[in-house]
Amino acid sequence: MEHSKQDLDRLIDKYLSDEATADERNMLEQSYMKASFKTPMNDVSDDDAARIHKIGTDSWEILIEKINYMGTRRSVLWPRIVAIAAAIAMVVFGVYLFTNDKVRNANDILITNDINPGTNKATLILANGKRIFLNDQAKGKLANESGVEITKTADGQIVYQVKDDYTSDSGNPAKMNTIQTPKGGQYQIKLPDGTHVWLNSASVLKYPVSFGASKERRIELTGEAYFEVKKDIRHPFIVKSSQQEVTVLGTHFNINCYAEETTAKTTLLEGSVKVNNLLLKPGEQATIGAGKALVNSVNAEKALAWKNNRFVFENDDIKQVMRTLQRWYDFEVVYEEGITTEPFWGIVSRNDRLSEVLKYLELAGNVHFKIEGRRVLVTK
Amino acid sequence: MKNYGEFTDEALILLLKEKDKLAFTEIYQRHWHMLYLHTFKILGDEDESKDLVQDTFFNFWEKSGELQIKTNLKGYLFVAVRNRIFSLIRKRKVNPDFVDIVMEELNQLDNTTVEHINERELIKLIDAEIEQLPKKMKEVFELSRKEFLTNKEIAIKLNMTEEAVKKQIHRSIRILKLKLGNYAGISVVLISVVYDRA
Repeated sequence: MEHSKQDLDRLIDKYLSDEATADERNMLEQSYMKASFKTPMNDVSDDDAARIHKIGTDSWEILIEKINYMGTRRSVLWPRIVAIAAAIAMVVFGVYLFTNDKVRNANDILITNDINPGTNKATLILANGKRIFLNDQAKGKLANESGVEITKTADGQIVYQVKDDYTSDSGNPAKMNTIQTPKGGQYQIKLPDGTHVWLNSASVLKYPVSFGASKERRIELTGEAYFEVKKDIRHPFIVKSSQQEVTVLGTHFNINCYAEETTAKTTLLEGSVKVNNLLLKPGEQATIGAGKALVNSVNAEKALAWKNNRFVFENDDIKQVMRTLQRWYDFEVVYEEGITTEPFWGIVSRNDRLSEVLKYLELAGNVHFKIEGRRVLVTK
Repeated sequence: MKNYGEFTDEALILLLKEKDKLAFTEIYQRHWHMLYLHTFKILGDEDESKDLVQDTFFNFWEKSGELQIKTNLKGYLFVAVRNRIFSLIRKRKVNPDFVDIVMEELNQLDNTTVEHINERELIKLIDAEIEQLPKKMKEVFELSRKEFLTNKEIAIKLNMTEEAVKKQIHRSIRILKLKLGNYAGISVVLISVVYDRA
């Protein structure tokens, strides 16, 4: 019986919609398998062979990212996380492991006293130089500054209310406020335009008292912050740090630009940003500094881990790990000669005492710690 | 993964139902090459093939909670890929030479009852295809599956320390012991008998 292309099409349609008879199913399946067997395949070169391997591993990485990202959108675990992703399945998994991993052998780490994790604290420095210390306790109206009322809500946010009758003096440059966090501090604020900022420890954020006067929304950052920018196409949001300028159009992203790290990293979760001249898509990270400017796809959860109360170490050497910990725990480090150069990776809760975190690191690699007051000695 | 590598397909499926990403990764490692090479042979396009297989695995993960299969991963995944290829034939996105051959085969099957390809048959056919691979391609197939993703690469991507991975393996073994119970002769922990990696 002669079959035409249309017959094949119809056969496939019936097959895929489960309407084919048993005979029809068998015919299609058999024809396919036979055809496949009869289709020759050309052999490959060594280069091709290596490429196939890479296609497989790359594909898996993308798959895992997709899977992780899917998990993000569905589960919201921590109430502090506002609009966007909270813990993903994998981070939850990490938490599960660590809460079950009761390491209680206190003899291993010699400590004279333990060091507590950071808390919500920051200093707000107004344009007129006045300093306001912010912590979990203070609530209510903080200041009334150039037509903008600054209050702190019960859940810890600093909120700006721009007064209706405020008009800017176009001769004056916009007055700037500064909010800075010490080591061991972190803070959330809502900028005058409604943009939400999470500021990590040892960071400084400078922003205009009111955005009304200027065409751009310009702020300056040293350290690390996560932004959820209020969309306003007519007023581009620009974050300036020493190595880069990030131009934004209403999105969610994280900037890491500590002075003591050689590079600044900007990670985009949603929306679109431009870092100097590089355009980022969601899931990408720009690395600027030390003579390089590159973009790659990353696991955005790693960049955001701090905001979700986690440290995520990914192929970091011990000094990088310690620098990250120092910013949150606020201590000094002394390195013995010949300490390990091997990379560390894993997830740790930011709420743990320092001794617990160091205990975990000891398990992971060839390293030992001794806490003495506010100093940590790192040994082989 | 070292120990996951010794789990049977049945064990992996059970773990996958618990959304175990390591089990998923092991399944991926075991079957990706076969699926990719088959797809590439028929589509002739690297990117299309990569995407098709990736979509298949993604979909597989999404549905992993409700999997009806018990042991036949190879066949299940192959059929998933094949059905997507059927769909592409409809959309005229498949190498026309291949479609011609399918038509020829269709025409050669007359009205006599056509054999049904059952599970075991299908696996034999898949294996035969692999056997048929040209020399270098076959070497790629053999070698890559043995050293596809290193433990470190997996650990990094899944944000786990190697310690955490060990713990996960122990947890999985416990889960399997519970689920597979006391099947005589099956030691859930480390068996490579049933699964043939050749």
